[in-house]
Amino acid sequence: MSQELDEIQAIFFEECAEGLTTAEQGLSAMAAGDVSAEVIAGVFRAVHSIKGGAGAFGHAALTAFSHRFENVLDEVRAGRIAPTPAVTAVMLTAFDILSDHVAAAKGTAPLPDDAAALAALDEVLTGKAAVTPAAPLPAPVAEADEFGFTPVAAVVEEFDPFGFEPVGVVLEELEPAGSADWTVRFGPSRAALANGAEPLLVVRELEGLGGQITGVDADALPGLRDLDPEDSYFIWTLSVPGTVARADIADCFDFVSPDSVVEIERVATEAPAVIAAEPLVAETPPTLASLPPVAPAAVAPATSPAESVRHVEPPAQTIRVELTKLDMLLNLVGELVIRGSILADRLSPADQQRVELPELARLTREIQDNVMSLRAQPIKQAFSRVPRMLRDLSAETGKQVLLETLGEMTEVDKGVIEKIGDPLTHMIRNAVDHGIESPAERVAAGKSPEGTIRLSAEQKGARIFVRVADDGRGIDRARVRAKAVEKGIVAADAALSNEEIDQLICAPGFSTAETISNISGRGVGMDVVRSNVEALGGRVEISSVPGQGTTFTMILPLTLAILDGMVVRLAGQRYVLPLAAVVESVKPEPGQVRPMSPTSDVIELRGNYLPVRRLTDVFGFATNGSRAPEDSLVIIVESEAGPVGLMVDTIEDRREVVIKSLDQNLHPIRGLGGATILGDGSIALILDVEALVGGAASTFHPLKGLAA
Amino acid sequence: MSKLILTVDDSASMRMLLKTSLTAQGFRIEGANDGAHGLERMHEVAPDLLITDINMPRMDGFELIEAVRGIPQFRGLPILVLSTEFSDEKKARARVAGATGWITKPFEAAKLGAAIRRVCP
Amino acid sequence: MSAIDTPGERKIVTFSLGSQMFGIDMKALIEIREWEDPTPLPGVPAYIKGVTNLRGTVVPVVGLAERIGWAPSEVHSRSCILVVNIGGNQCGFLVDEVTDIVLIKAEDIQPAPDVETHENVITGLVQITARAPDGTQGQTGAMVSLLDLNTLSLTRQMDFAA
Repeated sequence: MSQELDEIQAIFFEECAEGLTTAEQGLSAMAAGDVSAEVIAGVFRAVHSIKGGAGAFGHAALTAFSHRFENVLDEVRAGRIAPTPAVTAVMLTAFDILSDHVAAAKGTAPLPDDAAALAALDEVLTGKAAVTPAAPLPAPVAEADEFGFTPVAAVVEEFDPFGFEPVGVVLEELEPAGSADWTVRFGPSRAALANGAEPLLVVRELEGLGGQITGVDADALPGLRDLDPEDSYFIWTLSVPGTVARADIADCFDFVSPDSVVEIERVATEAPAVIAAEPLVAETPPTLASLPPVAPAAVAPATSPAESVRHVEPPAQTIRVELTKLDMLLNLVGELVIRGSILADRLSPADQQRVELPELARLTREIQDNVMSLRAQPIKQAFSRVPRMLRDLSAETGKQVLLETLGEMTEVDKGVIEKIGDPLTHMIRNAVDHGIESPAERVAAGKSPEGTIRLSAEQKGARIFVRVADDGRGIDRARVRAKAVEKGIVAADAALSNEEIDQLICAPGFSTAETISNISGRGVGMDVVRSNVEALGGRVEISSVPGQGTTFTMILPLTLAILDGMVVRLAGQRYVLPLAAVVESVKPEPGQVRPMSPTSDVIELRGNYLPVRRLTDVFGFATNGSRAPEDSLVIIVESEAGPVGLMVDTIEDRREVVIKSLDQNLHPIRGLGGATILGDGSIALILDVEALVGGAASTFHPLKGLAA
Repeated sequence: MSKLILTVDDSASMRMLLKTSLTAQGFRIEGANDGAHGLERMHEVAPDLLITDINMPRMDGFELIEAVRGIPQFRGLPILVLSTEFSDEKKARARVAGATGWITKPFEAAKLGAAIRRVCP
Repeated sequence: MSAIDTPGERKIVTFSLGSQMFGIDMKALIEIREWEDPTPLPGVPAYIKGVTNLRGTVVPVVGLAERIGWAPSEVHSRSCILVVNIGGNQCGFLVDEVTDIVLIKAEDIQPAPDVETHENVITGLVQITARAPDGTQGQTGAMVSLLDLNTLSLTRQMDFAA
């Protein structure tokens, strides 16, 4: 396929994805009881479109399956099959197979085994009262032409009794080729002139085949006074060379109205020519054995224009943009932000106050916000795989799970949507595998036999909270703790709070699954989830109540790419602290910072004592001559464990930095939220405050008013 | 001046395929993504031929054809339906609505060209 | 040399680590840079020297000698960083000296000897005629070990301890 066609096909696959989403939503709605005409029509259209495009690009298996699926949908749409729960269930299964077929057509998955689904679809079809058997596919021809289209012999259409195309092909086989010339009589009816048709074009086409007008019958022509310009009075007779195939002649009359006079016959009659001179009128044509008779159904009168006026809001004009273009734009905006900062630095304080600079900053910020919002999309996309996943999991584990979703329209950066897919998958699988009990267990515990998973997304301030909550058995803390001790993650006698035990699930190398179930995949566990989330600049929280359920929360930053930061210096290196985490900075007086233990310090601040960490210690860098506190600065940062001080050498300045991900070419590193490139080209690491000072790294709790 | 064809289909990939095929045959192409949009475009571009799909949101092909035929300027305009469907009911309905002809997808480029020449002077 | 590959031939970049010569596929090479101290990273294995700025992208720098289990390279005036593309990710490797770009025939590649390291970073060995330092075509042959960049990739899941 040419590159151009590749691009068009890529768009087709995008459309397939959208269509599949629409269809799934519609089918889910139907399963939940909403069987309105609009919903059903939406599902039909989606599958119909997929079928159409699949045929055009030559995906035979996908075309075939979607065609069968579409037949059932057509019947449901027309009211001939009732959308009972059983029927809807069959359609949902068919939908899953359809998705697999699309993936196979894309080359990202093997061909699915659709025999069972097809059989189920057939049962639905044959089970209904009025039997109209599935109309067969036009026979596909093997080779595609230069454009990649699978040609469909137009002859198939010629079995249409409504006269759009005449019956010719059946006769052709009976006639030897290259025999005597054809005589063609063509008398267009009044109707033949309607609908924009131009009979003369047909004549011209016949002439193009080598035909010649040999006569015109103008008997029907009235006098000028009675002439109706919209009527037709002529009958042409043409002679067409015998070498032309009858089908080709018949083709010319493809669109001619049925009540016109069209006669095609050989002049000399030595051949059987049994069906030679038959006027082609609307008649049920003889059919080939392979095609079942198609009874012409009553034609419903076209709905009058008045009835078909609907109140529909015009959809918002949208435009497709390649994501790479948006990324480039975002990069440029980031550079703009940096240059703006550097420019501001160069100005004298007086100049910095002039109106142009804040104005420039404001405009830059607005552009930045707008570009960021371009990348923002409803998080629904990330949730779209979940229903299918749950259906598969339910089938495999025998557990019944209902899904509730909240806040699907919460907008998040596209990068977030791409990256939370896997973590979300893991969490859902975990919830079904370990959280939700079997129906029997649940009933024994006084719960409903079906478990519920609530998937929600919420924006609070500059952060997005994505939660997976189940109403299952909760975390078995004794077992988790025992496993952690066994794996050497914690000491046997360590005193751990419930929250700390819960967090152990995310420790590297931890997995309670004795058998790495087929469902939970490669055996990677929650530690990968946590590192994925941290790579996005977020974190994972776990809360669990034994017997009632567990909730995993992913807290993610709203915007990914640009950070308001404080650049600090430590041991010759520059680091960036997210300004959002900084409370204040303190130049300690002598004695204000005191050692609490050999490994930790304390700073006294307005009557409170806050723990102080030296970043060099946290990072494990060799401290060649650590500075005295009085020569350093302590930056107080906010963390889950309360305010903590970080000791640095100096503060350089505050600026907006563009976050460059570390996990693009490396992997997530605990304690780092990425890196940034400063104006002079050097790299400064961005610190993840929470990871540095919170969690298992710190067991220090702030003390109030400790008397010296 | 080459003929201008307005193609109406809610699938962008299908419109692009048509455009590729038809511009190679010397036609100029404009597009619309559903019936309502198609109606607007009819006024804007006044094509020599309308090719439309049937199943589209907002306004389907039948409604579009009826609406177009209701406009005096377009009463004699050639209109072709291009659809994966091929049932007799649908074809009859199209004829009643005012279509000049029906082509079934998937289509062969040459046949499409022939069909166009058959209806478009 | 022509820009188009003849089947059966490959262009490789050869470089030295200590007294041994190695080679990588030219197609994987993005750039050769002078050595610059990278920004160190916390909590990474010793062979990851840090990260460096490659035209706006943050690229990790690996001490190749350490990575394959040898003593760390000493940095000197001819030390370079070979920036390569491994499966879409970029990485820089510290090497002692870049020697040459050589065209080799696939049939001349001998299989790598069975070594007992846990991962075999060497895919094959090939004999080339090395250029003499003064630029003339030397007669000395040299054995070049071809590196499998994929085994050196940093983006495979690594176990890290906080």
